[in-house]
Amino acid sequence: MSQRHTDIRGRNTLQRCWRRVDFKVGIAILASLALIAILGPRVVPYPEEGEGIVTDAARLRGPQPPSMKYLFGTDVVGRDMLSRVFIGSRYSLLQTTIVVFGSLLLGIVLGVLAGYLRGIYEAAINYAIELFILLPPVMIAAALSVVIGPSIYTVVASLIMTWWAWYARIAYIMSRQIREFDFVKVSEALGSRRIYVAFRHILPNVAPTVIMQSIVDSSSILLEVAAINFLIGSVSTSLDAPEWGMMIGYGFRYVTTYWWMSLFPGFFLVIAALGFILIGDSVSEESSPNLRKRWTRWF
Amino acid sequence: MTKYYIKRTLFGASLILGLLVIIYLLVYIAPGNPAYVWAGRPRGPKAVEAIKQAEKELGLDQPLYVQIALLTARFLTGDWGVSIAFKQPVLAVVARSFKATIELLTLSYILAIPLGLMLGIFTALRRGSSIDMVLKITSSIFISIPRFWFALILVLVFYLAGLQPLGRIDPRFSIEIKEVTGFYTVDSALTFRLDILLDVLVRLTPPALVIAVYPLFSIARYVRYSLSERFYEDYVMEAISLGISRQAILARYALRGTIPAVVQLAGMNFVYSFVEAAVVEIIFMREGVGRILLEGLLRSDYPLIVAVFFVVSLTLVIVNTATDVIQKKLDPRVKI
Repeated sequence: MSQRHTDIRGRNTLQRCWRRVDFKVGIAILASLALIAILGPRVVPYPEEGEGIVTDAARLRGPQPPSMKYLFGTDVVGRDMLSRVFIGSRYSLLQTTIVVFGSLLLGIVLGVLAGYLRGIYEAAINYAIELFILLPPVMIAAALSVVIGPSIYTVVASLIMTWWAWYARIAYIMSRQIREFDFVKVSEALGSRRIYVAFRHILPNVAPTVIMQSIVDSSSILLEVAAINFLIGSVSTSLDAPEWGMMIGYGFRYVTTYWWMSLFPGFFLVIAALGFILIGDSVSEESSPNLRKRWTRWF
Repeated sequence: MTKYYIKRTLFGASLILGLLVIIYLLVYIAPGNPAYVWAGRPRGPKAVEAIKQAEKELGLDQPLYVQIALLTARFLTGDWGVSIAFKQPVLAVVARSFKATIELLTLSYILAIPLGLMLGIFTALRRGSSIDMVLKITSSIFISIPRFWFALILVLVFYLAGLQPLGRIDPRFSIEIKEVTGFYTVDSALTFRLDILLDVLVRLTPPALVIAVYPLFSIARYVRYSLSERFYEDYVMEAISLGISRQAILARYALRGTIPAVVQLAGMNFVYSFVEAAVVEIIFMREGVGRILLEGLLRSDYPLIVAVFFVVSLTLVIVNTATDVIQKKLDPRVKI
C-alpha cells in the first residue's frame, strides 16, 4: 500500500458513495439541516424567543398546543417551539462538528506520534489512550459541570476527552504498519527529521481511514451530545439555550401535559442522526472492497 | 497464556492508578477554593465550619505528596466522604444505586448479545435480499433514535395506556423485600417471592430493552459485515469445495473469526451504554447512577459525583480487562 494508493482509495470511496441512494438521502438531510442552521434566525417567526429570551408576547401567550400559527406549539413560558427547534439546530450541529474535528485532530496527531516515535512516547500515549477510552463522557461532563458550571463548552470538552482516544488508537495501529513501508525507510535513510517523517509520510496515510471512521461515528457523537445535554436540561431551572437535548430534558418534566415540548426537538434529533447514519453506512460499506464484490453467491 | 493474563491484569491495575490521578486533578483544579466546592458551595452560619471540614477531608493543609497519598488511601479504602444531597456516607448511596444500574445493564446485555448475533447471522446469510434491506433500514432507524427520546415516548405511551411501570420496585414491596445482595431480581428469587420478582421484572424490562437497542443493532451490523466478508475468504471457499455442509462451515469456521471481535465490541459498547443507562433511568424514574448524577448536579454534590465517576470508571476498567481476557481465550493470536 503506497501513499498514492491510499489517497486514491479514499477518493474513490467518496465517488462510489455518490452513486448510492442512501448516501444522497443522508447528504440531503444534513444539507437541509445545515441550511436551517445557517438561515435560522432570519427565517423563523420569533428569533428572540428562539434564542431563549422570554418576551412579553410569549409570557401572555403561555403554553399552547401545536396549531397553524405555532406549528410545534409553544413551551411552558410561551416561546414558539418552531423557532427554538430551528435555532437549536445550530447548537446541536455545531457541538457535534466541534467534537468530531477536535477529537480527530488530537487523536490523529497523538496516534501517529505514538506509532512512529516509539519508546517512551509510545508507552505514555498508549497508556493515555487506554485510560481515556474507558472514561464515560457523561461522568466527566457531570464533574466539570459542578466545578465550572454547566455549559456547552463542558459538554464539548468532556466528549473530546473521551473520543480522541478512539481515533488515536486507530491512528496508532495504522501508523505502526505504515512505518515499516519502504518510502518511510528511504526518507529516514535520507536523513529526514523524525517529526518531518511523521507528519509528511505517516499522517497523510493514516488520516483517510481515521476520517472515514469519524464519519461512521458522527451519529453516535450527536446522540451522546444530546444525552448529556438532556441530563443538564433536566436539572436546569430555566432553559434558555435552545439545544435539542436540553429542550427534551427540560420538557421531560411536563411530558404528560405539554408533550410537544419534548417531541419536536426529539424528532429533529432523529432526523439528524438518521442523516449521519445513512452517510456513515454507505462510507463504511463502500470502503470495504470485499463487500462491494457482486460475485456469485457461494454462501 | 498465563503470562498474558498476568500482564493484562497488571495493566488494568495501573489504569486504576491513572484514574485516581484524573480524579485528583478533577478535585483540585476546581477554580477558586476546592474545599468550597467539595463542601457543596455552602452558605449561612455553618459555612465556615463546613469548609474547614472539607479542607481537613481533602488534606489541603498538607504538602502535595501527602495530599495525593491521602486521596489514594481514602479512595481505595472506600472512605469517600459524606454526600451533601443524601446526607449519608457516599459509599452507601453509591453502592445502592450502582447495583440498580448494573442490574439494568446486565439484563440489557443478556438480551442484546444473543439477539444481535442471531440477527447478524440471519442477515448475512440473506444479504442483498429484500428482507436484508428491510432489516437494514429498521436497524438504521433504531440506531438513530436517541434512546432517551425513545424511552420518553414509551413512558408517554404507558401513561396514556394507564400503565405505569416506573420506578425500580412497587412501593408496597420495597419494605417487604429482604436485601441479600442488593439486586432485587436475585433477592426476590432467593426468598421465593415470585410476586415481587414479577413486579421487579415488569419494571426492569422496558428500560433494559431501550438500552439494549444500541448494542443489539451494532452487534448485528458488525456480524453481518464481518460474516459477509468472511464468506469470500479462501478457507470458506475450500470448505465449500470439500463438500462440508453450510451449517458446519458457518458454525465452525466462519463464525469463529467473528466471535472474539463481538466480545470486544460488546465491551466497548458498555461504556456508551452507561451514558444511556444514566439517562434512561431518569426517564423511567428508577434509582441508579442517573439519579445520583441528577441529584449531584442539582445540589453541587461534588463528593458524590466524584465517587460515582470513580466507581463507574472502575467497573469499565474491570469489564474491559475481562473482555480482553475472554478474547484471548477465544482467539489465542491476540497480543498486548
